[in-house]
Amino acid sequence: MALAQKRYAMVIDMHRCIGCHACTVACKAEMAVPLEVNATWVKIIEKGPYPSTRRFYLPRLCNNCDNPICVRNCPTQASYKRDDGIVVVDPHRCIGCKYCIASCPYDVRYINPFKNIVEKCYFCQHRVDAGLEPACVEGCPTRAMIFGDRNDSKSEISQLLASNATTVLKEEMETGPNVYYIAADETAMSNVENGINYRTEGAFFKLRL
Amino acid sequence: MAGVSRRDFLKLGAAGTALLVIESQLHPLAQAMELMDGGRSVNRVSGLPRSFLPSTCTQCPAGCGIIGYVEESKLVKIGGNPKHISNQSALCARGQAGINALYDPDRILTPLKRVGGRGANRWAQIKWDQAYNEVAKAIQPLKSQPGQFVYMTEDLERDLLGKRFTHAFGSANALGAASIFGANKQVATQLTWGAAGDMPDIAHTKYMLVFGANPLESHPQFVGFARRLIDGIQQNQAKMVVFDVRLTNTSTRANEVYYVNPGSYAIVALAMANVIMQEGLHNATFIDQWTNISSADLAAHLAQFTPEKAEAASGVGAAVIRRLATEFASTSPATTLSDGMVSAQGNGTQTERAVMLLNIITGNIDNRGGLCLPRQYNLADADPAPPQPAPTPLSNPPDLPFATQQSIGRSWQLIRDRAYRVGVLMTRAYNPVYSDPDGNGVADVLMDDTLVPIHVAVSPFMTETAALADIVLPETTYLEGWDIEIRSSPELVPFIALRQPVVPPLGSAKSFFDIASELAKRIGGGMQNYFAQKSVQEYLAARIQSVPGLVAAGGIDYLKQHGIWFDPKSKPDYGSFSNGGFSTPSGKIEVYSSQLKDKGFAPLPSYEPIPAFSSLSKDELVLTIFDTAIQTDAKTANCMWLDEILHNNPVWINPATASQLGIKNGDKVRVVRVARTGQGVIQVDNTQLNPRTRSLETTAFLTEGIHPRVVAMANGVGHSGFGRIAQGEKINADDVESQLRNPNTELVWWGKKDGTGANAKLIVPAMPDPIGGGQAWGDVVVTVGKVKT
Repeated sequence: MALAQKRYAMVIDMHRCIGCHACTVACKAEMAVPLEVNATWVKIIEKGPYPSTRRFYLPRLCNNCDNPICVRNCPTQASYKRDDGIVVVDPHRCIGCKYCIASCPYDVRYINPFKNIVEKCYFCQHRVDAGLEPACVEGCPTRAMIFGDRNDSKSEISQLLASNATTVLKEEMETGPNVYYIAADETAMSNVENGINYRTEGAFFKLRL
Repeated sequence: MAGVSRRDFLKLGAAGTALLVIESQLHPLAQAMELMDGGRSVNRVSGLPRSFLPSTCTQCPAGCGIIGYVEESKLVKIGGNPKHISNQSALCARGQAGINALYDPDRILTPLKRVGGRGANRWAQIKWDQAYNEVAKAIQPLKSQPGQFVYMTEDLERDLLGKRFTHAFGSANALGAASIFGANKQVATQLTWGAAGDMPDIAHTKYMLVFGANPLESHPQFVGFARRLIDGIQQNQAKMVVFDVRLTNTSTRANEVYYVNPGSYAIVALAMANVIMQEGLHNATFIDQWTNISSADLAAHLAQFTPEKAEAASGVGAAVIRRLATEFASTSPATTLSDGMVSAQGNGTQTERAVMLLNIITGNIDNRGGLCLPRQYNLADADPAPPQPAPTPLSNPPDLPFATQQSIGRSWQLIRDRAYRVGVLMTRAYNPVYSDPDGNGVADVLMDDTLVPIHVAVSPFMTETAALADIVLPETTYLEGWDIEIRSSPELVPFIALRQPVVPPLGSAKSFFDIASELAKRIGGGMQNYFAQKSVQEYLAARIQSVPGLVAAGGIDYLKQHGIWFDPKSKPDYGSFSNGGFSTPSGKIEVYSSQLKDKGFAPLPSYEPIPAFSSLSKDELVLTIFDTAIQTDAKTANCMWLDEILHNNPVWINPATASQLGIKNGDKVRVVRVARTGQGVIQVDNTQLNPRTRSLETTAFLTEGIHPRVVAMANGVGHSGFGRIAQGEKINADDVESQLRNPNTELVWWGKKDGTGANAKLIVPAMPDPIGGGQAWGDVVVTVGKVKT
């Protein structure tokens, strides 16, 4: 039978995000992500002098780009893009050379210290294939993360994208990210190439501007 | 392949692989349906569905509905229960990390008896039979003075089994720790409208005045409440104004934020109430019909709280107070939110009453979008319930008349001073050495076997408190145990939920029902008659007999299948008080409280300044201890996924203050409690049990998000016990048993790198609000100085 081609994407609505890290832990549990590394996390910054200081969040995960540099640079074809847009790493083909890590402008790939291969967010492809939302989306306390099929004009995500101004990380790289942010803070969206350092330095209190 | 670029080739390859993956993994249902938001889970590799059971989370007090997903008897994932009316499919970080607690490598799996001195941490594993006999033999001789059996638990309202056990023995001393977790709000609301607690209807409100509450990080119904609050802001364009002493996840989202001087929330609220009355914006009909004071008398009382006086005390401008008062009164519906340090101060009960008054005078009481009465089933214990034993100075401390069975902080002082004699102390699911104020003082009491001759800890983990026991009985974790779980519903539709084992107990851990029943049988003397049910399911079934709708739906079997029951026809019954009034002595909202007057307290909502705060010297600062969405007090620090995010707690300092003190970001600093902390407001003895614990060391975290006269530290870290994970220690890769249970604990990295923080509560003496009995966590005055290295 012919399946209508899906095109998966995520919208993260910063009007709704409360920076609670439920997505961080949902991902750890769902993907068995080891300590020291993360496939999903929340960047938190503070801006502005007292008393007008504000806190800004930015949930971070793989953009599953339309034009993924990581896929291009993978020498073993371990990284590939599914027809539905999800960028995955075939664990049997990955040799842990880290070319993809070096080429990712978003610093969302990591080496699994036990397996010595690269892992990342796959939009929970195993859940999506079973008709389920990604774990972070399911667990989000405030429904800040919306996942779905862009090719379905009736889907919630299509309607959100049609009715809201959105931004993507490093648009100028022309990677075609599939994670769209509504009302994300510009400063929070900068310096995302250093995600790994941020993650391992004590997420809760470390980063301020 | 001519004309096909390498990239195209890769794409082809990718497509081919993807197609294979789809064919082999696609769930048959998925072809026809939209993505489902919860209630199922599949194996990551095989794509096969996992078996699942609904239950209830207790990682924080919210009691969210969860689903445990299991493969080969191992819990592999926890998600939200889509059928749960409060949290639905959503689940916070703590709930999702509960799996870490279940498989904590340092869990206790057999009964332990100490072989060294108390606290020496030398234990012998013993059989349950021996453990039961020794505990029963210790309790039995107290039969002639049953009050010498003292039972302490985290939340007495949710520990009916512990209460049943204690009362069945004849002791009134089943004590809950509500005093450290917000008793003042409970007492203030009980006195005022005859129900303990409140539920702001944030999903439907248009305007929120938030006093110190931080529901987007910490709330008794966290996920369910946060979701509805965000819905309210997004769907109703509700305005939110926050008064707090520091930047929070809630205040950062507010339309307006005001940093108030600590301890001054009440006068801000009262000045607003004054403006509303003076401007004639009050709902006179509501006041006259539903309160026990006339508009004229109330206006006369409030006249003293001028916006100018409030500005002097709080730092919030008089013009701002006037404007916000007008906005609040002229927007309908509107509600207040209050919690945190508003409640947890020496004037907390009065402050809660002052904030509540804003809703009362505008008629925003139990209306859609206003401040609603809590909706929850109050199920009695199963029949036959033991009779209530005669009160004791521990269960009903005479100097805290409203704080019945809630003020453990007071209990430790009475025990320390030998004003109350203990024979056997049993602690369950409660870790006062960490959670209580002055924990080292609590430890001193527990270490002294002339004060506490026998201490039995019922605990799955070697907490700081269990470490000071004579016998440790390993209870199951929440994921292996049973209970009826009832909470105040953020949907305002009451519900009954079940906690059931999602996996069988590890090791020889036993549910508390089994432990209590067996002990009751061995202690005997009639006590066993209250534990006649053959199984915990039979006991819980007896508890829900009074709810016909649930019984008709299938009772305990229905709960086992769905995890939760609520009347499907039920809708929020706003304005329920109009039939039969409020459950107060007068049947009305008691703005004027005769109960307070009778005990010598101000009968009208009032502002009581905290004396130590009005005369702060140049170096003195106020310490605030705050909760986060990552750690729950003493409960969650053995969860590695949470610790990885929040494992230390540097002290927040405003850069202007830090500069005066010569402190830079990251500097090692010492936080020292000033001796006159608590003097003035607190009328009971507040001498610290352990006077040596006056200071702590941490690092400085400079942030613009804090009042210059306040410093802040996070709660939930800084453990000295509770196993290796809580203390940031990695577990050797060759510790096969531990690694099998909880893989990758050899990667624990934060302990060495960042440390595991300091328990700020250790430097805080026990200081109950004399009305509500709630610990005045917010009344602490400190100095902060750089540690010379």
